Formats: sequence, C-alpha cells, structure tokens
Amino acid sequence: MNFNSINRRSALKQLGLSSLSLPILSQSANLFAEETSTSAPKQRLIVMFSPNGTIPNQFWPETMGDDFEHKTILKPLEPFHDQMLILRNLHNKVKGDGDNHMRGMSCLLTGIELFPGNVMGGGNTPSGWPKGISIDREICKHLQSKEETRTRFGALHFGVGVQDTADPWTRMSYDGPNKPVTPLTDPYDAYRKLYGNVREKKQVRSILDDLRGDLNKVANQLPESDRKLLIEHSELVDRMDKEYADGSSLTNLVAQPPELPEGLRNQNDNLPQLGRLQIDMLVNSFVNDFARVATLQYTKSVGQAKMNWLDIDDAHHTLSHEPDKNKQAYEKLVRINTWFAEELAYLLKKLENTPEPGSKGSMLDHTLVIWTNELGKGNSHTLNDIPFVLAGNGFGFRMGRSLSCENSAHNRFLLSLAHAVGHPLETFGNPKLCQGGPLNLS
Amino acid sequence: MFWGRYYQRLLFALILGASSMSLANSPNGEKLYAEHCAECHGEKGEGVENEYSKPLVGEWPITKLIHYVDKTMPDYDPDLVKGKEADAISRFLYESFYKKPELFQKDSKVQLARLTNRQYRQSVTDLFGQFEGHPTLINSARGLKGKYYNAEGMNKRKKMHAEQVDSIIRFNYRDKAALEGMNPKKFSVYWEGSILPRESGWYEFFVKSPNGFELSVNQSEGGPLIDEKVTAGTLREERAKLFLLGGRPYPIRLNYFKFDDPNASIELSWKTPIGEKEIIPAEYFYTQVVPPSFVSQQKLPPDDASHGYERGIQIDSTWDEATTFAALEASIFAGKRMDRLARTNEKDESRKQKITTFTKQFLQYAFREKLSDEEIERYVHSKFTDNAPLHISVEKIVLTALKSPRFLYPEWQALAKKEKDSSVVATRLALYFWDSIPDRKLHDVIDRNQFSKKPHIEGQVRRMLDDPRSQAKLNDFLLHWLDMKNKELPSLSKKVFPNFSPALALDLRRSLLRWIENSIWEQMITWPQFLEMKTIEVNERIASFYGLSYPDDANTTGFVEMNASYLKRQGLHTHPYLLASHSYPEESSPIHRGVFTARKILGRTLRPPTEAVSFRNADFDPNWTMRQKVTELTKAANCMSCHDQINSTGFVLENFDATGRNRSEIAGVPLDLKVEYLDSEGIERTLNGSQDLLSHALESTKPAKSFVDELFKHLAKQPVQSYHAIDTSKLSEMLQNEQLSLRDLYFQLGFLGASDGFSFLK
Repeated sequence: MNFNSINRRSALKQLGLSSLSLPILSQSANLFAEETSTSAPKQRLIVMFSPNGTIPNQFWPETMGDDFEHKTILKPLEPFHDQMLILRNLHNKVKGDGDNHMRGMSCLLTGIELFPGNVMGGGNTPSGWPKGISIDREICKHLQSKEETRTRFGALHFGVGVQDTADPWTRMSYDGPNKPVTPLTDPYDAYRKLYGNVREKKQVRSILDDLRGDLNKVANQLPESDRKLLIEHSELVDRMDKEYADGSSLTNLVAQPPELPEGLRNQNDNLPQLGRLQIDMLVNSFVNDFARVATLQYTKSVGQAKMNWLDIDDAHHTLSHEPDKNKQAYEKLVRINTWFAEELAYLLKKLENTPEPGSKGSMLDHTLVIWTNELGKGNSHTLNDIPFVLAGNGFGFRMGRSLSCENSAHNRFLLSLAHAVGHPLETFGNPKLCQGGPLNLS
Repeated sequence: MFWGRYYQRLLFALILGASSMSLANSPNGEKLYAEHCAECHGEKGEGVENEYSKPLVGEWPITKLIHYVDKTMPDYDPDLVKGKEADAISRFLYESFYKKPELFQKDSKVQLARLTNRQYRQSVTDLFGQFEGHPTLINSARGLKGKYYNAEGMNKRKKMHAEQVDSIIRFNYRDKAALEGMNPKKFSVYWEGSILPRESGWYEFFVKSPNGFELSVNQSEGGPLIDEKVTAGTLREERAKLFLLGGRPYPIRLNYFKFDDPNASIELSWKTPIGEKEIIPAEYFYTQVVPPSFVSQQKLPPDDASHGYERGIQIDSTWDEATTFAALEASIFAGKRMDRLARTNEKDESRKQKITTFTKQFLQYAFREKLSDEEIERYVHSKFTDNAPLHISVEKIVLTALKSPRFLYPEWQALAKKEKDSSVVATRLALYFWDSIPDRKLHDVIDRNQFSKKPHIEGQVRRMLDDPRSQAKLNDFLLHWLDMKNKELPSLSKKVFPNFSPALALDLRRSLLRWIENSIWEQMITWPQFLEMKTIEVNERIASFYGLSYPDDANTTGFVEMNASYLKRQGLHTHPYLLASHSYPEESSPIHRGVFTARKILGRTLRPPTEAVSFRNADFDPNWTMRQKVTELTKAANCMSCHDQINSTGFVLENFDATGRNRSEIAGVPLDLKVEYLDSEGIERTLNGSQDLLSHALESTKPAKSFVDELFKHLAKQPVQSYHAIDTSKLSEMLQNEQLSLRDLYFQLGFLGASDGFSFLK
C-alpha cells in the first residue's frame, strides 16, 4: 500500500478536487509537501519480452552514438528516438545446464545458472529452474521494503498468449531459486486481480431484469401462501442490482479502469487485442500506483504464435529456424519483429500521453521500458547480442543513443538497473559475470 | 437452554394454580389440569404460543408420566403436585390427548423450498452431463493403469517398456529403474484411470517426489491441477484442493518423469473431507478412464438443518451471492466449452444453430419442462444478437437458467399446477432419488407419452434406482442417520490408546461404509439384517488392533468380510467405529452411546436436555466406574426423565472400551451390564448386554417406523405428513417383517412420494 498516494488522495478529496486536476496541481504548488519534497520521483520498470531471436541486419543500427538510424524493425520506434538507448554487444554468458532457449529465457533476468534438472531441450543438458531471483523481482522487493515506494502489488506480470505450462521456456521472472512467477495471461483474470470482478458483475446485471420478470411470473402462479420466499428473493435481486451497479470494488481510483470488451477469448488469433488490453491495464495500474514494476511477456521462448493478422500462417518458432537464405521466412520474421516494435511503440505512446501523477512530465519520463528477447538470432540460437532496447527516462540513463557494451556479460546491465533505483548490489546473478560492476549508462 | 424457558413458564403456571389445589380424596384430573397446567399447555394440551407452544404429546408410558409430573412439576417445588394429584393429572392428559398426536395434526402440505446445496451441485453437474454424458464405470478393475516408458534423449515418452496396473502410487525407486530392464536414469510413467470418492466435499491431493510430475483430477479446461514438471531433483510435496461430488467417478492422471535426477520416488496422497492425509487407497481407483464432469467449486452457505434434515427454506444475501458466483462459474465454463457441448466446431457452418439448440435444451433441462415458443424467444433467441460473440450469449443463457426460480425452486410446478402431471412426477423422482434434475431418458419417455401409467413410472424408478446417484443419496442419508455426516474422526487419547491412530479410525469408518454399501446394494438386506450386522469388513490394521487373524488372500482393497461374532459384535450399534465415535478421548461415554442407541437403534424420541451439563472426569472418585460416574451425574429427577432411558441403553454397551474393544472388567472390577429399561409400551425390561438390546430392537416396531420417517424426510426434504399416499406405519411393518428390503423401501418411499396426487392412466 502506498501511503503517500492515499494521503494525497484523501487530501484532494477534502479539497473537493478531482483527480483530473492532479498534474496541474502538483506542478503549480508544493501543496503536498510529502509528495514533492521528501520523496524522490517515482521510478518504474517495464520489461517487455518477445521470443525466438531477432533479425540482426534489420534490427541493429550500424552507427553508435546519438545519430543511430532506425532500421526496418526499429522504424516504429523512431518517434521516441531521443528517449531510447540501444545496448549493443551485450551477451548472456550464463553457461551450464539447459538449452539456449531455456537459458536465454530463464537466465535473461536472473543472470544465473539453471539447476540441473529434468527438462530436456533441443540440445545441451537437461535443467530445472534458475538458481536465483530475477532483476524485476529484486527491484520490486527493494521498492516494497521501503514505505515511500511500497505499492499494492509491487510488481505485476502480464502475459500475452503465454501457454498454460510451467517450464524454463515459459517463465522469465523468479522470486528466488526454484520459484517461477506465473504471468497473468487472461486479461479478464488480470482485470479481476486489479479492479475486482467487474465483468462478472456486469454480466449478472444484464440478466437481472429477466430474473425479476421470472420471479413475478412464477410467484403469480403460486398460491398466496407459497409466495413469501419468492418475494424475499425479489428483494435480494434488487439488493444485488444496487450493489453491483457500483461496478468496481475499488473506490478512489486515480484513473478509472480501461474499458474491457465483452468476451474476448484467450486464443492465438486475438493476440493483438489481448496484448493491447494488457498494455492498457499495465499503464492504468501504474497511474493508480498499484505497482512500480511490470513485465509484459509475449508468448514464450520457442513460442509458436501464428500471426494471421500479419498474413503469416507459419508458427513463429518454426519460422525462426529457417536459414537466412530463405527469403520468405526472413521477410516474415522481419515483419513479426516489426510488429512487436509497433506494440512497444503503442506502450511508449501511451506512457508518453499519460501525465505523471503528482509530478512533472509524462509517465514515460518516470519509467524505463526494456524490450528484450531470449536469443540474439533465431536460427543460430546465439546468446550473444541479446536485443536490449531501452526507452524512457525513469532510470536516469543517458538516452537518445546506441551504445556498444563491448561484449560485456548482461549481468552488468542487470546490476546497473539495481543501482539506478538506489539498490547498489555488488553482484547480481553469477558474481563472476559481474566483473567490472554495473555498466555506466549515464 | 431453549427448553428451560418452557419449564420456567410452566412453573409460573403452576404457582398460579397452587392456591386452589383440590384436597378431595380422588382428585379430578381434568379440573386439576385446568387449574395447574392449561395456562401453559392449553386447555386441550394444544400448547400456548410463547409458553409451551408444542402439543402435549409423547411416547412415555403412563407410569413414567406420573412419575415425571410427581417429581418435577412444578420443578421449583416438586411438592406442589404430588401423589394422587400427579396421578390424576397424568391419567387425564394421557387418556385425553397425550397419546393422540393426530388431534394436533395441522393440515400439512408441501412447502416451496429452494434447492439444497447438495441438490444444487448435483443438478448443475448433471445439466452438463446431459450433453457430455454421465461418467459411469463398467466392471472396471481396481487400480490405475501405468504406462512405463524409457525416455532416451528427451523428457518425452520414447518407447513403452511395459504397461501394468498399480493399486496405489507409493514407489521408492531410489537410483534404480521403475521396472527391471528399464533405463534407471531416464524414464517416465503415466498413470491414468478414474477415482471414485465416496462422499461429497473438499478433497486435497498431494504429490511427493524429487522428480517431475503433473497431476490432473477431473480437469476439462486449462492446465493440470498440479504442474511440477520441472525439478532440480529435490524432494518436495505439492498440494491442491478440489470439490468433488461423492459416488461419481472422475478421470485422474499422474505423469511422472525421472530424468537424470539422482533419486526417484513418487507418492500420491489425499485428504478426504472427513479424514487424515493418506496414500490414496486402491479401493478408490479404477483402470477405466471416464470423461471429466463439471463440478462447481463455489462454496455455499450451509442449509437449514434444524429439523434433522437439510432443506432449502431460507434464503439470504449470502446464499444469493454464492449461488450467483456458482452460476457465473458454470456459465463461463459453458462459454469455453460450448463447441463440445453443442457438438460443433468453429468451422461448422451450422455452428450458431447448433449452439442455439444446445442453449435451448440446457434451459429446458434446467427448468425441467418444455418451454413455450414465447419463452424460447425471450430466454434464448433474444440473447443471440448479431454483434455479441457466441460464447457471451451462451454465458448469459446459462446464467439466466441457473439464477431462475424455475431452476432454483424445483417444486414450484407441483404447487402451481392443480393437477400433478408427468413432469411434476419426473421432477420429484429426480430430486428424491438423485437430488438432481430429470435426465434425458425421463424427458424422452414423457415426450413419448410413456410416463403416465403406473408400470411405466415404476419401470423408470427401477432404472433410476440402479443409477449410482441413488446409491450416493442413500449413502448420504445413512451417514446422517449414523451420526457420521460432517463429523470428525474419533480422536482418542494417544496416551491411553497409543495404537488407536487416525489411520485406524479412517479404516473403521471405511469398514462401516463398505459394509453398508455392499449389504444394501449387493445383498439387498432387510431391516433386521441391517440391525444385526452379522459380518464386518476388516483390513490388516483393524485386524491387528482388535486381535484378529488377517487372511493372506485379501483382495486389492485390503478389506475382507468376517463373521462379526469373531469380533464379539452384537449388532450395528457395536461396530467399533460407532462405539469409538461415541466416546470420550480416554473413556467410553455411556451417555453418547445411549443417546445414539435410544434414538437410532430403538427409535425413541429424546428431547434436548433442559440444561447442558458437561461431564468432567476429574469431578469424580477415580476409582469409580463410568457407570457410577454417569449415574451420579444424572441422578436429578429433571435429568432422569430422559436419562433413565439414555443411561440404560448406554450402560449395556460398557463391555466395549473407548476404542470399541471388548472388555469384561475395569481396573479389576468385573463389569455389571445389567440394566432396567422401560420400553415405549411402558414395560420394564431387564437387558444384560448388547445382545439383549439388539433382540429388543428387533421385536419392537418403533425403530423401523422412525427409520422410515427419517428416510422420507431426507429423500423429499418435506415431512411425510404432507403426502397422502404414504402409509408409513404399513411400510415400517413390512420392513420389520422383512417383506421389504431396505432397497425396496427406498423404492417405495421415492415412488409414492413422487407420484403423490398424480392420477395414473389406467
């Protein structure tokens, strides 16, 4: 629970001000001292994942520095050029058990080896879960440990088309050794977790008029003496109607929940809409300060989404195995990865358009978004050159450039994330891979 | 407490009358009654609202009644009405109304009631079952089928090594292979079959292994119940809870993977609603795989059970909300599974039409009758609009169906219709035998006009009785009748009875239930045979505790049937489970045993105590026997009005200790089992041990009558007086004379109750 925001909200309420006037208010005067003077600006982290490697030629800018160019895949992100940081030559150097898809996924945010185990992948030795916590959960734990940064959930994990299985290919967040965190893949489940069972209540209300009619009809056919129970029942219906009319079980929201369309099924063809819904809820949960950390996981490592909406009938992972010379496959993979970039752009745009509650600027100014992948390249299964595209100013990194990390282990990057939120860990994940300390990204 | 109030009022009435007490030689009972008693009991014993509101009727013999009035009325000063006056008052009321309950019988009729929780759950499950089929086990062998695979190179099944039936899942392979000749490093086993729980309630499943595993129990949508495929080889136990309806099979599957881990072992346990965690015994497993069924996982508030049976006479917002959530849960399930339910798929051109038909049938089954065209338009077609996704329409219709009074108040048609028609009879039969809705077959025979002649209906009843749901319902009643429903296992002092483990208690419970199922449904026993319980089911643990020799050739379930006399039993009431569950942790409890035997085995009615007195062992001389302690505790006249009965029927069982083991002495003092028992006819009998008690129960007509009344209430959730066609006296006589088996009685009560008021076609 974030006590600051509660205080602020109740204070606002007393003043009779609506949440709409929030940004203006905070900008105009230091009315709420505890918000603006004693606490540092909010820092938020989003990790977005898409699977099966990228197409390096169409992804990485040729030039380093401020003037990097946006190739096909990163084209949709061009409007955010100044807020972007592209980390090149950064490798996942975690070795040991598990195939590259498994280590690529499960060591991506943990930076530590997998336990030996029983899950056998396409190569290498079988493995189990990773031996340590992931950076998103580590940062969440750090923020939750302090009253001024504590929120209702701490972290939220959204999935888009993530299969109903628990294995090292399907999980990237971990609460510790052997502790996978399951993402919320059905937006309706996510909605219920965040705002209560609004959809169900709406559905129930939609049939209450019929029910009233039915109760009357049945009661009228019964002898007088048998109607008592049905009359009581009608009263209960009215009561429920009134209670459910309030909708959300949460009051005092800074921002109302996004509109949830009726009956969107959690299946392949709906991935685009499902993803957008999850993004909308993610941003809304940030506005309401339910959490400061979030992950957004599209399918899974080895994910087999069939992107019909891009006129691609092949399954993603299968396609990613095709050699570079298969031009058709190559072109489809570029389209797939570009689509993910478009989804990221949607998220960034949304953050940019959302004024930071209680502070200056936009929410993007207070958030760091990382777009990543378990592999550098699909058909080589390399764990070198893992895509790390950063956007947003939340972590105080110097943005608007492409930077070579000089073949560092990605642990050093994970370490710099911790440092950026005031959590100066000496190592993260495998200590040997942290040599040189956090990357200097400022 | 509740009763105490009446007595206080009665006292008050007697004080008022005291001044004008007659002093004549032969007192006039009628006059004395009017003076002393009528103010609270009514002029004709009808009772007085806010005083003693119940009619003054009962089953005591006159001698006892006189004694009671003499000793206790008024109880603040029992001297006020004494001797001849007490005699005269008692005789007057005894003759005039005490033995004539019919004088006070109000015109009783069937009351509108909602579905009870059991009825609700059963009905919802069967609604989906109408479309996906009711899972049934056909002569299936016990145990689970295990498919053993070598898993070379991949953690997927590679080559099947063997297939065998395993009776329980508790294996410790250590560093060896599951079976000889298999690769000890990499193998997997896939067990599958069905599980048939006996009782309804929450079941918790546990899997313990250092290797990978996945457990599914009745999953039809979504992933497994427990997903632990990934492992680092460390031993761990995972658990998950599930609500299951008793008497129905569910598919169960356990996938197990050993892959390079140093050790291999696996255990599959559960904790049943009343029970202790244990390895799931073989008797619950069957090799046949049945399809999954929908079972609501929603918690429902308890039903009213103030009259000794569950009935749906009350509704409140908690119930409304709980059933709404349950309806939502079912509607979401229907939406997800609509293609299977409607036997169509996304490519089917007539998909929408098939789904519409499905929802229409769903409604008709839920409402238990055909819908008019207007109703179909309103409930079904209006919900399918062009822009709404199909599954949303399905959800809405299912929600409407399950929230509707037509579904929730099943007897409404019976009350609304002047003439009871076939669908009323079918609705009642399904409720009375299954706690559920009429199945497809019943709808079919009604449609074909083959459900209006008596033989037609009787034929359907015979079919319904063979359905496992009928057995499950009778089981549910017997659990209640035997005081076992929702009651924890007896827990005896570990210090005094170190070997009476919870596992033994669970086995004893199973022993009793297995015997009941087998004897009623296979042996078709009669009422006297039921009370006699000539055989007892024993497994190794029971045999060892009670000092019996256990045969080597026991079947997979581990239970064998033995002559009850080997265990020195004299009737159902001496089954060790019943004795142990009516005991204190360290001692037998003649009071608990006495109440149970008096009520159930002898069919006597007992009122709740005027004031609750708890038994504290420490209050008594430690050298006293239990009999001495209880006699002392209950010696007050007020207590003795009931305890004369209770104590005597409890004391005769004192040759069984708290565990139900035989004993002939306590601390070196030989037991005295002899008691004087005043029967319901007023005859004083000497009973010397449980055999005498059994013999008396077999002679008396009371026990059978009380059993018949209780069973009917449980079937219909209405008192039997509300039905005209049922002569319970005649039925209990037939039961007593062995003209009816217990199964026949069930048939008769259900049939007569359901067809009450129906004019059979000749």
